[in-house]
Amino acid sequence: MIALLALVVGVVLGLVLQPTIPAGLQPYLPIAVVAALDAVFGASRALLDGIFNDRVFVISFIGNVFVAALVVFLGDQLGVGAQLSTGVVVVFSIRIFANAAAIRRHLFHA
Amino acid sequence: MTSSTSNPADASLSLLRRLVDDAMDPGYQEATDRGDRRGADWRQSVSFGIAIAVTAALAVAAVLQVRAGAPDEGRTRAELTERVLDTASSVEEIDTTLSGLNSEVSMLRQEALDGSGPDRALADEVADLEAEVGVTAVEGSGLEVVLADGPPAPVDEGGPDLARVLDTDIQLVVNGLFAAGADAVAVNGQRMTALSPIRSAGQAVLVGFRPLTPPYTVTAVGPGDLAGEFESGQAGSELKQLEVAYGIRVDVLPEENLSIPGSGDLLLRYVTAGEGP
Repeated sequence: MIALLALVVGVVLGLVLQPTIPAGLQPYLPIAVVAALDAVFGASRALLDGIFNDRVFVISFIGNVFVAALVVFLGDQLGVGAQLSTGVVVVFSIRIFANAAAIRRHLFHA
Repeated sequence: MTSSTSNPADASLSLLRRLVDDAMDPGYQEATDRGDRRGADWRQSVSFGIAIAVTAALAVAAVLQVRAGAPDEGRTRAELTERVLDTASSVEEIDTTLSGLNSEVSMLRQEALDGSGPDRALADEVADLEAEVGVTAVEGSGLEVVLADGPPAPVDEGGPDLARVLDTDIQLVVNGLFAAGADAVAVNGQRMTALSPIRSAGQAVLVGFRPLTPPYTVTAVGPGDLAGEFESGQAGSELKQLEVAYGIRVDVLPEENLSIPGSGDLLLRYVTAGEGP
């Protein structure tokens, strides 16, 4: 319930405020979003498993986003930014799929 | 030892396996096992809600950024197109200025030589030579030869399109017209001089370094028997062969009032002999 509300609030905030990302950070925004999505899906699964822990969640959320952006930044400096972004996206999307499947099993028992 | 290390197939898949098995952050399980104090319910809900809101806002920002980036490409293309058109029109402007200046030069020369006796003869000679080498415009009766691509070959044959007019075909016509006694020749309104290149780049035919589009109209001013000379000459018979063998359409029409523009620029190259070795 709160999650859905927060989702709507976030979308509205994004649309209304139209946050401008500093030009230097723009290439890392999509990666950061994917990392954040991964943390959110993991947390949703933990919530359903009954083992959610806000400390772990906040740390994993911030850590995920930060490390993903850092890895891509390093890759950019080394000239393999595109490949590393692909790697990061692949890893996170596999995790998102696995977590989404677990959540689905929880909710629909199927 | 777990079975995953004993089976080589499993071992090579262990990376993927761990990725899927540990999809949820192992920290949650560890914290629970440790008996870590779970925050109050409201704290959990609030932190989760804030994270979702932040993620949603970030995602919206990313989408907006991508959307804003898309028109950029279109704008870049439009700017480039505009620049190309600008340059083309400025080239045209410079060309008109050039031909204007050239006619001014010849007018001034005419004035300077306008006298009697040897001056007059010299002026006439200059004018004749200029018409002959293609600097000044020429008017008179002559011939119009139109070359057009024949019907294209069936697509599935995949071979070269033989019914296309090639640069060599235009060269054939231009050289044939000169051989038949033409005084001045132009291709699609471009005056041919001794230095005019006719060549192809890709599928386009370039005349004087400008790409032309078919049909190609070759106009020539010359003596009255130009048409007969041209058609009975070597070029005429080769053209007929092209027509029959490849389906290229060739129309030869005598014209009474033709006006062929001058090429405008006359490049003079002076060569001096060097010292012997």
